Amino acid sequence: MEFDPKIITFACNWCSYAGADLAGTSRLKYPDNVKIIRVMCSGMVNPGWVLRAFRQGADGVVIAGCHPGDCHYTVGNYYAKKRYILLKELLKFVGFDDERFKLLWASASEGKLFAEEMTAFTEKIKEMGPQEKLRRKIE
Amino acid sequence: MNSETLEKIKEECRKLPDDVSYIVGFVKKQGEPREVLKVLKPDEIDRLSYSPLSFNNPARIVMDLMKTDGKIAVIAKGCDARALKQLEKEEKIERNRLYIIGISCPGVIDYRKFRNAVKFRLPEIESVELVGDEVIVKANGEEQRIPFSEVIFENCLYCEQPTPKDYDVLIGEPREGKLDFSDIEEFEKLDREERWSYWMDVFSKCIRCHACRQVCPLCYCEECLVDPSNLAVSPMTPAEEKAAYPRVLGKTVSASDNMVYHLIRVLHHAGRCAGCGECERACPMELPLLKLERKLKKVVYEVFNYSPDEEIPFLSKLDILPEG
Amino acid sequence: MPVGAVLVIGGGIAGIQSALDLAESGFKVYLLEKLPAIGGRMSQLDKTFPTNDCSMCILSPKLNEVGRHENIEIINNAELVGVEGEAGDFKVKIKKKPLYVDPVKCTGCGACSEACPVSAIDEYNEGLSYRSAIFLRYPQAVPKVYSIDKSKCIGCGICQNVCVAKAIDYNQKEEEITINVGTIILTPGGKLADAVKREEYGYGVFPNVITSIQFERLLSATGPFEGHVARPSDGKEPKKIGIIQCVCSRDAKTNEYCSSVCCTYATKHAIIAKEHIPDAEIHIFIMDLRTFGKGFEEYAKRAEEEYGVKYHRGRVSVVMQKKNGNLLLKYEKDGRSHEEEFDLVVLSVGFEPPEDMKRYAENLGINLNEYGFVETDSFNPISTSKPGIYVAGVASEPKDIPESVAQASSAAAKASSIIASERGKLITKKEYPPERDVTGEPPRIGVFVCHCGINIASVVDVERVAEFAKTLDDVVFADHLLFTCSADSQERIKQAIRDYNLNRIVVAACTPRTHEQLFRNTLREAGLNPYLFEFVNIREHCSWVHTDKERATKKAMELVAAGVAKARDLEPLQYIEVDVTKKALVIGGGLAGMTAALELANQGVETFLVEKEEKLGGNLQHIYYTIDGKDPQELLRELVEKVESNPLIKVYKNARVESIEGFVGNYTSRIVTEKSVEEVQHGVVIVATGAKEYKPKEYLYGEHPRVVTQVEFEHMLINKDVPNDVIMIQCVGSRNEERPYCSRICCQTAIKNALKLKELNPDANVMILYRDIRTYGFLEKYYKEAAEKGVVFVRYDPDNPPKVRVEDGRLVVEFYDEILEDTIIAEPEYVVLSAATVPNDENEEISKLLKVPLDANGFFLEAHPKLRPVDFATEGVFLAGIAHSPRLIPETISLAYAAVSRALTVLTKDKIIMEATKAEVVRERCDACGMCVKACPVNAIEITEYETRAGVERKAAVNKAVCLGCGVCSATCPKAAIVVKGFTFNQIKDMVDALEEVDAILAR
Repeated sequence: MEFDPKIITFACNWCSYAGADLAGTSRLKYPDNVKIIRVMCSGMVNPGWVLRAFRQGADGVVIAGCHPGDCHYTVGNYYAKKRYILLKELLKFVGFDDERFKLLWASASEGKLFAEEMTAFTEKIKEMGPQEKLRRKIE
Repeated sequence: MNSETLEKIKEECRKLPDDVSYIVGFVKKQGEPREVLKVLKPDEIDRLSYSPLSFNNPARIVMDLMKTDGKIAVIAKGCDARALKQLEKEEKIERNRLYIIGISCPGVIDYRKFRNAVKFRLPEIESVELVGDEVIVKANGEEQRIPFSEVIFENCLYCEQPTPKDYDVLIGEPREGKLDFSDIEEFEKLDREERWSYWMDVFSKCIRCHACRQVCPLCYCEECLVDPSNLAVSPMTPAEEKAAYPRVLGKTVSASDNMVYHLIRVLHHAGRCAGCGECERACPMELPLLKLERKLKKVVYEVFNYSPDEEIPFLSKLDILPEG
Repeated sequence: MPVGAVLVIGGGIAGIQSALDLAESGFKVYLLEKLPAIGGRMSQLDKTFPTNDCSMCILSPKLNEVGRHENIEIINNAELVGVEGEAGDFKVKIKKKPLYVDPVKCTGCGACSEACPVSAIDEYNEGLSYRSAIFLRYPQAVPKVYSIDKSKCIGCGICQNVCVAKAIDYNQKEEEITINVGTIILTPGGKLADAVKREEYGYGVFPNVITSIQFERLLSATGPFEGHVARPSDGKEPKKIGIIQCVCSRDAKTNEYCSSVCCTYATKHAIIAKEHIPDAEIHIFIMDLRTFGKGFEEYAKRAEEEYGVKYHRGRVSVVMQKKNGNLLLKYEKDGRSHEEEFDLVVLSVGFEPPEDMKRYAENLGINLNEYGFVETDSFNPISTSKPGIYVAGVASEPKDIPESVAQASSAAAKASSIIASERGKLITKKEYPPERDVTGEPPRIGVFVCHCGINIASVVDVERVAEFAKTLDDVVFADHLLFTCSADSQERIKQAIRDYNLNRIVVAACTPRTHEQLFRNTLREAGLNPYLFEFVNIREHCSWVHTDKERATKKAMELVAAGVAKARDLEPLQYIEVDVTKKALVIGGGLAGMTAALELANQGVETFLVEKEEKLGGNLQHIYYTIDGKDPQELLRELVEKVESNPLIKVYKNARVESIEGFVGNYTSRIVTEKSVEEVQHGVVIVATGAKEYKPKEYLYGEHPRVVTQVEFEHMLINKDVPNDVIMIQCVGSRNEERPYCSRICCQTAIKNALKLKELNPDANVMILYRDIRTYGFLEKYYKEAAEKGVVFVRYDPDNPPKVRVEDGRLVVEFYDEILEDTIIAEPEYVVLSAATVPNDENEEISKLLKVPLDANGFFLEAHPKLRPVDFATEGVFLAGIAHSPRLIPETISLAYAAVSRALTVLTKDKIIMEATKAEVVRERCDACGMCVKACPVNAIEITEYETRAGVERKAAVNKAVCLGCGVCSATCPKAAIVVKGFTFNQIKDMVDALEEVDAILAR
């Protein structure tokens, strides 16, 4: 059976979630592997959620927020980026495939970009194959 | 050297301001050559001891003493002072209630290495002194000389600040430290799967006893996001409330779960870790926990240009990084 | 004493906006609608340009808001009979026609309609389908009450028999009522011209020639073929579609004016048709492409480049039908005649005044203009000839939705101005049933899955999703509904809450960004706290972006499972109330800023007006006459005098706003002038910073003294410096790579100045080199006048633009004439450049200061391009004038009043109610490390001391009026001791888990 990845995207309410909405209203297709969880700001995404997602078997995790300077709360996305870098560097250090963890800036008007990025990311994860390293081992 | 240091410590303690109620210092452990931390009253100065085996970090005890009244005098090495500073940033310590007796630290002994290197039975050892590059151990009228480099606690080699930056009185001549991440860089040269199997090997040994967290001066949370056994619950706590406590992990102890536990633990230490090494010393499985802390420290220093002297805690600080 | 009530005539989008603004700022509103349902033309649209938003999706929440607003009384199926009295106190007679259905008893279930044996032409679907004699105009109709069309009813009595609610009353009589209002707003919209008038196109004769509104219905998912595009003659999918523009517009035989909206809606039709039929070939026959609104030019470019839509400049002379139903179009292009065959022909019909306009005019005593629309004055674009009666939307001139909405808000401001003293006297406050205390109850979750017509159901098997939801823990009820947002579905949700004692509600439908509020109110009406609600998006994030039905259904299940997981932990939250500082800050002292400040002051609001220059006036200072012969300088003098002498307006000149802090209702700003730094408190901000004329880099501007811009040329003419020979070049710096937008005003400015030159020097030669002449609306007549007076118009191709050079000191213009098919070389005295309108440089700074966005072109970006043209997404901040987009004087004035109207919805309240989604400290877990305090972007957190049994404890505390709920604190806290309710650590973690657990559940 073809590998069918699971991808979780945390999308901020103001830009990326709206961008995903726009992808919808524009009927731009992207793989149904992507599931979006709405957060108010990318800055509220707890690294614990990302690790939990990998542990529960997600093959890829995306944090999507407003472009730098566009944050509805002015700076939340900078915090998101900071935590993203810390976790990403750690994951890389321990030998995890850190490419499975992505930060994306997508505005409310970038429905097309959102769809394209989700498509490209899904393709990449498909090439990488299933994420086994942090997946919970069921005894 | 340490008898000299100890005399100076005692001398300074005798000169302490009148409002000092407690001294957090080291006393000799019964039956072992090392020191342990002890809260002393100002009239107990004679009990104080100090040696390269006075490796514990007093910051957490100081923090707990902040609940009492009066001033606290503390004997602090470079790393201890960094931990104190961090707790001060986090409003856990009031600096004006602290009297820091700083020690310019040449590094401490790794007790595990020491035990292997020393030829005496531990209870027999009378003194351990650092003289120049050698550790001189005396017991039963005999003397053993061990090169310091053979028993030094590895992290002390990378200490960027052996002399406390902030002190009320300093013992010893100031020492220069330097930032050195050569060990981390070396490890990063391994390819991904080598790194992964290294850490899988490490974390498969972890028994999730949480000793690393328990001893860490900065892990003062009463309950921990990654440890379901550490909830602040009483027999009265209803089951739903217990269920509502946030947690990332269950009680499973697979290597990958252990890794998640440690990743979250060290993420919470980003820009905070003092490098005292209590975690590694406490680990019954002798895991290289500081390696993760040091990796993060490298990111904090190199990517974010953070200086521990900054007043804003790293995790609260807004960083606007250039794109790319 | 005036009356604190307003009558709005016409329940289309304009009337709806006026009604909502007025009702929200303390007035009783009567909304008169001649049909049984409000919604107007917009309710018939499939999509709206230029974002292709689903029209019903953005309209429906507004319909429901009107329907449930305690201060709005809808008088449907009624007409105006007579008006007495004067401004401030009108007595209005209204005839209510019988519905033959008791609106109180009717549940909108539709059983009657299903049983009705009659088949009548469906007006809502423009005659493309049939309805019964007892019917609802459209599924989302408000009020949701069926009515009997007596002209079609055969009196069989079946409906009365099937109606369980006993709502049908054949004996209902016409009723006349009299209401007392202070002012009246006229928003009857327009009717679409009858395409039969252009008999050469064969409408009404050839079945496959349809009008644009019919095509709109064809494209719509709720249309006659459920969104499958089929042509009427044989139901085949058309592969080649011809769209003919200017049908009954810009036409000497029917209507001379331009209908303004058809070029952009035809572009929309082409794009949507291409999405339905990807291999279709679509040709649009235009005279000029008039995509002049904000984002429209970019939209047309996309149609051409991405969708391959072909625009032809040429008028179609005749349409003929072939035996197979196909149509032959004959048209002129580039001086030659062509013939081409199409499967379907769409006629883009223009606007005409509504049928009853003459009756309105007589009853209300207002003047109509030469075209039969309501007469207005370009400096008073909202006022009719009679005081106290205002007009908005298409009734005064053809216009698109955002302009209509802006005018509707403007009219609300004007209509409330003279009755401002009566604010709040006739309104009632909506009472919700007491909130049920759900603490201690185990979760009892209700899940409602929406079909959204076929928008969701055509891809996602909603019934299976609902069945799946029933298998989830704590779900005690699950159902699927055709339109979850419709009034009857809302009732069903409320009923289910009561019947099953539900305490958490999950709706799987569209996006929370538009519909969350609606469902929260439904919960309140059912006695549940509105925050016990979770929205799952299975339309935008599922059915619209996926095609594999099985997989999309599975994804919908996963999303529902995640929503249910989150819902379990939802807690009741209380709205936060904050006081309002009833003062305003207006940034920019040009036409828009001054107009706004003055209207705010008229309504009793103290206003701070900040102007960066040493004089008030902005761009208005450089406009000396208008195309319709008015004097802007007089307007300027009058405005400046009124503003400077008004005791409620404090003017700061040579000033800038250095900082703005706070939140809606409570802002503190520092205004810096050369002499002073002042801190002011205010409740709202209006951004009216204007724009400026582009300084061209093209055509030797700045290098040759006789190459000037239109503004400079106007200045020359007013100083009697009148040349004999002028060539004007249009679109200088607009509609190009760097600035893709149309600057909207330059075509009329060129014609205005050309006419002025002709007036001063009738022998002068004036040539205008253009790409499209965009004299929209009634401006068309000046285009015609200019042509009649000898102004020569020559079109140039953007790929081969005119060249300007200097030869021996003489200015030489070289251009290609498409009609003569030759390159022409001319030596005018002056070259006048119609330079773009470009955003001001300070926009960026103000955007950062206020945390409001700019669009790709550097103008301010409104909250929604269609329905919130002067709002920002940030509450309490509004937009006016050409900081929004380039526009003319009347349009600028209209935006200024609109911003005031929107601002008054805040400023007229003593307290505003704020979202309850805020950070909250879980005190038992907090140990006051202060990391959140330092991370909070708005400084809403501080460490506070609490008395507890154990003594004084230090814990973090959140100022909820300042907190924006971003959650940066919650991710900074190492122990999740500060959480944003609705987004707590566990809730999101549970969602993550649920997403991965569906396979296991399905396998159970």
